[in-house]
Amino acid sequence: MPEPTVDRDPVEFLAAEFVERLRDGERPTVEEYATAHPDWADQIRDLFPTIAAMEDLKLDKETSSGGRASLGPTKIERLGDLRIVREIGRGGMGIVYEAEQESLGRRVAVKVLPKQSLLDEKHLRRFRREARTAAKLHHTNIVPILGVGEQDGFHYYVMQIIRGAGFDEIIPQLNNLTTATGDEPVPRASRAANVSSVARALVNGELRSLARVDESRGSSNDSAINSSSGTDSNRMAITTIDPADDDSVLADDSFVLTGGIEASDAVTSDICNPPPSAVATRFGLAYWQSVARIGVQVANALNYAHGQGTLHRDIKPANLLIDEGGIVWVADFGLAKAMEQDNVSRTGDIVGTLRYMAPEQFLGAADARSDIYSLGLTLYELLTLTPAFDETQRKRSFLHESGPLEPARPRRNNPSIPRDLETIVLKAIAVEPNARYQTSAELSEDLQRFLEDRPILARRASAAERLRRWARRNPAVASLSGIAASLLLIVAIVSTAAYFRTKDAMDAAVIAESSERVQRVKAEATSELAWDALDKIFERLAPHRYVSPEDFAVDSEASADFDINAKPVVSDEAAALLDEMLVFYRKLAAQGDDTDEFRQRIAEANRRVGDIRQRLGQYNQAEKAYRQAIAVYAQLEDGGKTEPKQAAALASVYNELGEVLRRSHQGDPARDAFDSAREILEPVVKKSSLAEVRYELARSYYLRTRRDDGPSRGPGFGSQGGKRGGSRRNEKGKQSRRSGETGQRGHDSGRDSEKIERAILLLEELVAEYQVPDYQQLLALCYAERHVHLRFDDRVQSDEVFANAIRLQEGLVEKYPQNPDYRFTLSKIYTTGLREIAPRSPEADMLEIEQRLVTALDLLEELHQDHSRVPDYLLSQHRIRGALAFLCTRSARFEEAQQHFSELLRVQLLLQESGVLEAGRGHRSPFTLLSYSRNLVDQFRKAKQDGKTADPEQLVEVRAQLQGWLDGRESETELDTRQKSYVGYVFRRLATVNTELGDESAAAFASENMKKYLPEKEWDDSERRESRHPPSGGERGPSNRPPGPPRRDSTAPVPG
Amino acid sequence: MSTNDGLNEQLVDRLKQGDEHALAELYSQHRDRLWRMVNFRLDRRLGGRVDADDILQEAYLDAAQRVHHYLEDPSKSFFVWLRLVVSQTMIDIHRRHLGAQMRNADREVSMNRPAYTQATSICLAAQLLGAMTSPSQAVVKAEMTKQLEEALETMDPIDQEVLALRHFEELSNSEVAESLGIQQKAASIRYVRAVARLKDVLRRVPGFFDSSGTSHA
Repeated sequence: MPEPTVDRDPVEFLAAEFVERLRDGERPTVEEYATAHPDWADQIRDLFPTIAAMEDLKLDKETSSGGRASLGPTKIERLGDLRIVREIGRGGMGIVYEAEQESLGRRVAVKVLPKQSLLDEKHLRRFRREARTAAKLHHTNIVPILGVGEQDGFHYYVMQIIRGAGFDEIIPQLNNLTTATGDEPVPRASRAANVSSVARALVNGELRSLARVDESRGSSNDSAINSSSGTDSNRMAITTIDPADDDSVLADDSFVLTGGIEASDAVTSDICNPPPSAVATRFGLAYWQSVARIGVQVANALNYAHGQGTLHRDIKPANLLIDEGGIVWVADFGLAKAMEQDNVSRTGDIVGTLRYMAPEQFLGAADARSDIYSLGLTLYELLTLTPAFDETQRKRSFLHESGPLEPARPRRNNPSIPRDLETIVLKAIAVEPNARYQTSAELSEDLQRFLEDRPILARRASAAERLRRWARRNPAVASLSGIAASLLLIVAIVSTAAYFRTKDAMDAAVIAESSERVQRVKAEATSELAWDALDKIFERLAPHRYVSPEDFAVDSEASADFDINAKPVVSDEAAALLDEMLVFYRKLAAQGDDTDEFRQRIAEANRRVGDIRQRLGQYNQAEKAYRQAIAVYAQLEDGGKTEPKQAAALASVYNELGEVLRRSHQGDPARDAFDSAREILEPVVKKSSLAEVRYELARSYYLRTRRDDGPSRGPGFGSQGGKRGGSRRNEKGKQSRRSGETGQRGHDSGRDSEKIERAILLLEELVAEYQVPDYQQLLALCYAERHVHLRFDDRVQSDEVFANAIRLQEGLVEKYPQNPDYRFTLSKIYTTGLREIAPRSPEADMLEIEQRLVTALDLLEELHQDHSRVPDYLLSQHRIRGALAFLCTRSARFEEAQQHFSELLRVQLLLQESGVLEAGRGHRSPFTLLSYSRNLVDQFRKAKQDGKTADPEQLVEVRAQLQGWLDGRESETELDTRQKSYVGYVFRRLATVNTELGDESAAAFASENMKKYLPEKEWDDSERRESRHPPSGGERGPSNRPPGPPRRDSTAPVPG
Repeated sequence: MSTNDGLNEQLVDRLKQGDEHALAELYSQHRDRLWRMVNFRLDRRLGGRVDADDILQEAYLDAAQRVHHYLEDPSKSFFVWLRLVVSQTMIDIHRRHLGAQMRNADREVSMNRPAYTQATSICLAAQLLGAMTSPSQAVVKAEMTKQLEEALETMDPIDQEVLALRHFEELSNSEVAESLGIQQKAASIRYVRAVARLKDVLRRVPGFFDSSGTSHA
């Protein structure tokens, strides 16, 4: 009844009345109110539906609080003949009580469903129908349904009460057993002790009827049939535990459980502790046999029910109970789905329900094989003691964000799990129903075979089969997860092993001559299969030719800190796997497949290991693999140099080798490798027009001549630009014998441009003939190179060529928007040669140069957003930021420069976090920091000059960074000359910063230190920039240099 | 509820006279709504361990111990006082079970004024999405819950509270006013405003009105 209207909003007042009528079960309509109260009609029409919705939703919520059923505010004490004794558990869809059936004087379990769960007639009918069906199931391993009823709107069904525990409770106990340390507190709940004693018995194989199962095999079926011919009451009499027994059977009557109860957490995880004597238990054969016996019982129950036309639809640990005699009981047969209808959402218990569901059930299709799948997952969990899938995996799979899942092989984590048992379980949970056991009887049979040590019928899926399945499910896997990779390795090993098995068999069969032919054919087939499997895996992990983000040779003032250490998309794990797989290749070869054809495949495999190592930045190993590949090619009939396809393959390896060498700063050997590729192909190309030959030749030209474009040298844009990467940074003082010569080679632009012209010629033909994106890309890169050559000779043509390069590459980007490599290359094209161009360009061109950098940067930032794991994109950003910061500083746009610098630092941090750059690594040079701090000092001074208030905050921060860099050096015992000069520079800057900050004593201290590391002429920090190389002699006065750009001169003498 | 006020007064009188049964009677009279309150605000993380009945049981004992406080100053309605006691008990129980997690302020159970911020919006969101049905919706629901929670957070906290009290705890306008310490008039106006806001919020959550299955046109 509404309250008086004083001081109340009339609409609120009406709403209160409306709501009360709803609560009283009336169905007032919104329109009725609107008509009766025309003054408020609009508001009523507007708001009342929402009000009604809230009332509706409340009812729903109240019956499903916290993922557990609830009966609302009502308390139930009696249901017909049943006197409720106590609640023994609640699951997603109902509350289970222990009750006394007074007329018969026996204890039963009764599951009461929330009122709202069967609101609609259709569902109610379905529930009743399913309950009737379920009540007809009579099997040793199925919890009998004794009746169905309704009272006060509550529907319930009555079951036999089972004195035991659900596997959802037992599994955590099993986990406890494996981890128990022995000094756990005494268990507080005896019920928990009982659960754990069941667990223990499972481990020790002590449960009576479990042990019996294999002996009485088949008998359970018989008895089921027998009892199903009897009457219901008979059945009840047989299976119901006499209440009189209760106290004697169970010392503690809290150890009572029955169907479909998800045991409450309080019992399983909080209170339960293993008995004090518990010591981490090793699971041996007894346990594995227990699991198999559980499987047999459930499979038998399923087989029986399936034969009766009833599916369970919700097999999961919580629905499987085990009593103290070791009998496994399947609860809630068919009812689970019938009564929950939309239970999944109602309880919010998505996980529990989805976790064990077969993939096809997601799509609404279920048959006997779906139950087999769910049982398989349950057994999997019993083997591994962890769910096969975690919830997010399952959810993603459900939302089709990923393909259906295959869980990890159980033996991977626990090799003591018997192989056959694993095979059985994996077969039961095959993603495709056709690949599973087709009937529960088959599953039961195989488990039985396992128990009896007979060979099981399930075969591990053949490599080809698994690959086929896998490929079908993963049509567009961009990158391979670790799990998938190891799965594939298993596949390969299995198939290879199969080959050896067959071969052994074949040897044995030599005796039986008649079968030899057959065996040989078989062996060859398997061998082919093994090769194919290996090849396919390699294809996945290391695509034959990746158009790799090549140029991350890092060299700029900004990023000189990085030794090239870019971590590509592929994982170390994959590389290790591939390495292992090489062993198989060799083994296969050693088994007599030592023909040219197989040698080629081995060479190819080595090459791919090289590819992947290269991507991983493991250049030494990559080099090794490539050299290995080359060595294998050399064993080929003609050294692999005449047959065009082989020659192209070999040349390609040389080109890759050259790449690796270049990246590890061995410029001369790198060029030798490119030359080798060229020398192999030049004669071949005259005779063959094979595309690969022409492409690879063009590539060798391009690689041989291309400059290390990076805008990286940006901040430098030094007068001596244009040096090749190889000789530029001979780390560790390994100065090349030919360095002087190289320098000249580097300037030999005439020969270079000739090579580029030839490459372009070849590629233009190829592009005209074939629609291969890689050809177009390489052509675009060649154009970009050529535009640099032409830049200062024929500006018009140069610009035209550059435009061509951009157009070509943009075409690729447009056509293959999904391929990041093309976008990355586009960004590279924009920056190609800028390092060489910038220093020679008139001021007027600087804007254009800056624009190119900005365009490239935009591309890279976009790439990074899409592929945050590829470090190249960040590395390039890092370099470009450095270049931009330099350009800005140069034209006195300090604030912009500042922005670029701080972005640069941010990127650097990201790179360090991802491990691409190691923070505080020994030879890390401080140039980023030095430029940054120099910039800050400049800004600070300028602000002071302009009479503005200079904010010292950033300076204080950079002081800390400088100090931090120095602290990082402390751990290094030996500093070489260059490192010493770096330390000196940092001290010098620290002194300057401290001076600016007015901290004279700190400045003096830093200055003193600086003097220890730098020669006197370097002491002045006013104008000079730090030089990349140790000061050595007088040729390098500040006046020699343009303000700003540091010298980068590879010919500077490096001691040692 | 208001209809029971007369009866309440009698019982309260009996209570004052030391009638032990009076409290039990009063308590069971209000049990439904107290249950609703607990059910609504029970932290989902406690789902498996504690339920509304447990809390009500414990709260009754607390009420019995503290009832003399009420009798000393019976200015509030007895229900509002009881509700406060139950909420205290509930907070204690949450604290006991969740311990350190309670410090996670965004899940703080919102009974007393300062705390009813996000917790109410989370409860509301859960409530409002409760009706989504099919399995596929169930998965979508997780996403929608997030959106709805965010949307609800944009509502004035007191408005949220008013809605929760009125609908999910079934308090009357005057009880709402009393519980929140505001004027009846303010409570009344706020309620209308809150419903209007909620309607807008729900409209912003894609799919809500399509799938909530509410059919009171």
